[in-house]
Amino acid sequence: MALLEISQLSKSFGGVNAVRNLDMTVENLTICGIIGPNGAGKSTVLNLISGFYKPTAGSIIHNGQVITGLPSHRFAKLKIARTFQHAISFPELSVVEAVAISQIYMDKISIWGSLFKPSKVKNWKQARLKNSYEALRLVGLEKRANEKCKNLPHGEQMGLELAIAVATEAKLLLLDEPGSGLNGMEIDKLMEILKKLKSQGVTILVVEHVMALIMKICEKIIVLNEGAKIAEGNPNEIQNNPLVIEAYLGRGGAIA
Amino acid sequence: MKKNWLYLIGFAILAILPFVFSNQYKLHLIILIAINVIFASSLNLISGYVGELSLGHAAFAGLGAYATAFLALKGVSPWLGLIAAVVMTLVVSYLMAPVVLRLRGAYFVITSSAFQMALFYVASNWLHVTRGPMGLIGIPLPALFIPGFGSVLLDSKLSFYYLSVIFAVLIVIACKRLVASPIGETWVAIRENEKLAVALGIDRFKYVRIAFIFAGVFAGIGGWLLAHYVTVVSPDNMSFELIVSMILMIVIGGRGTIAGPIIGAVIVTLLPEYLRWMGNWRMSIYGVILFLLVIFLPKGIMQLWGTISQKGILADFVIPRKE
Repeated sequence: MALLEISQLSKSFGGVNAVRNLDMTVENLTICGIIGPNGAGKSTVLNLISGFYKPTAGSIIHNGQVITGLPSHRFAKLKIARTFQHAISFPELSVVEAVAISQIYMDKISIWGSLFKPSKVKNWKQARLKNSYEALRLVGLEKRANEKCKNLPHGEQMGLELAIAVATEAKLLLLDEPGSGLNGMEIDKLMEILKKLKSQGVTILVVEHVMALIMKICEKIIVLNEGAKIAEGNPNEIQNNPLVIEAYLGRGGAIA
Repeated sequence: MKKNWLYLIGFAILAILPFVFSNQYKLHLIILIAINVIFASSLNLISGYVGELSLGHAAFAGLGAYATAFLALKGVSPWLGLIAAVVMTLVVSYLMAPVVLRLRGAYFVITSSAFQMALFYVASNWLHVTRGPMGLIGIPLPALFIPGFGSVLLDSKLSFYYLSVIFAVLIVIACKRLVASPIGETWVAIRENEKLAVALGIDRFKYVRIAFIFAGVFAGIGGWLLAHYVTVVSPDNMSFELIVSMILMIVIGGRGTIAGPIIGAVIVTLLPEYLRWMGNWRMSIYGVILFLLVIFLPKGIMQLWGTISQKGILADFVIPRKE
């Protein structure tokens, strides 16, 4: 059964149809990619799935449960996490503290507990920090744990975003252009991490510009153009699809 | 435990302080500092940690003061007045939250300011209830029932010193614990990156409302203390000047730290007094000093602490903490 089933999803901003009648599925334990030229509606799809935008029409079903239009803070409990494009996570916090925030949604301490049970608060924080180190180790940032988030270079910033998402113990990761601005080595590392996550039981939906990344790790690729799906298939099929080539390079072009 | 010793020494200093400064005027200033610590620490929850500048904070102080004043003048015990002040500020902040917390940044500032102005003009103009600018006068002092001694009226500066310091200490400890708890972490997360915080499952409204309500209730308790200390409640208890001085305290001391508002309260209370010898120049010089402080220490005096040492006796009070 598919982990995520999207049917007839549409979103319009005023007169602009950012996403039009999108049907797609994300199978459990796969890496699925969404590509498309600028303005194709890729990020909008991600924002719709993660509840940041309310769809104009259509439905999103996760694990057999309708999640269309759910407020965005409810997704962590459904084990869905996302990353943002070019975001500095929590600038003034240290890296490990930023990751530790990922588990607060589990909500184990009440106001009463906060005021009158400081040892319980401390123990839970210790436990969260310990889990944070695990997530940091996955992305290779454990040595940066005590640095302020804002002091990390761009490449590591993406790793941190990923660690934060992973630390929520999500089963479905929605990644918004994780490869943008990364160099070749960093992209190789990112692919390693994503493959490792998949082997640990995480399903990944990735919106991306960087073709090298998408073509190497995705089982399935969905191509959007002007808000509508124009192609779907494995990397090989996509690379040879005339519609895709046309959307990217214009009529008569070819993917280099 | 090194830390427990430090707390003990701190409490001991607070306990003997009135005997060091036995001068009534100095004691008066220390009491004002204690009350200002309550105002600044509570404002710091919403404006320092959540990062929304609340110009309506003085209104909660005024609500607490008027709540107890009405009751006390009808002969109700000030302790019931305290409960009334807490309930009043709790209810009002709970009802205000859905309105103001939808807004962010400048919109929040303006709406909270409008709230303060509305209450200020009600207090100023509802003459047959609040007596307007003349204020409610003759508010009785609280009495304390001590087993074996009977009822003791807290009519000396010394006794009021202990009362206000106990409340200030309790409120600072409460703020410190809240901030160190996961609830405090959600505030900082929302301040630092709201979108990401929400994506991580943090319900912004739920947690910011907790900060807003605690800030309001603590300010109400400060207002209660002030009402019984000066025995007069007038619209000045929720004036714009009051909120400006509260903001000065947290900005000068350091927003988003526990020690900052305390330092700020001491400076903002004492500085104008120490400048008294300057006569007419006093307030101008005061303004210039504050101006320079903000220019050179935009993150407040706690900024100095960060540059001097990352770890120290106060490090525990500085959030974000290093673990």
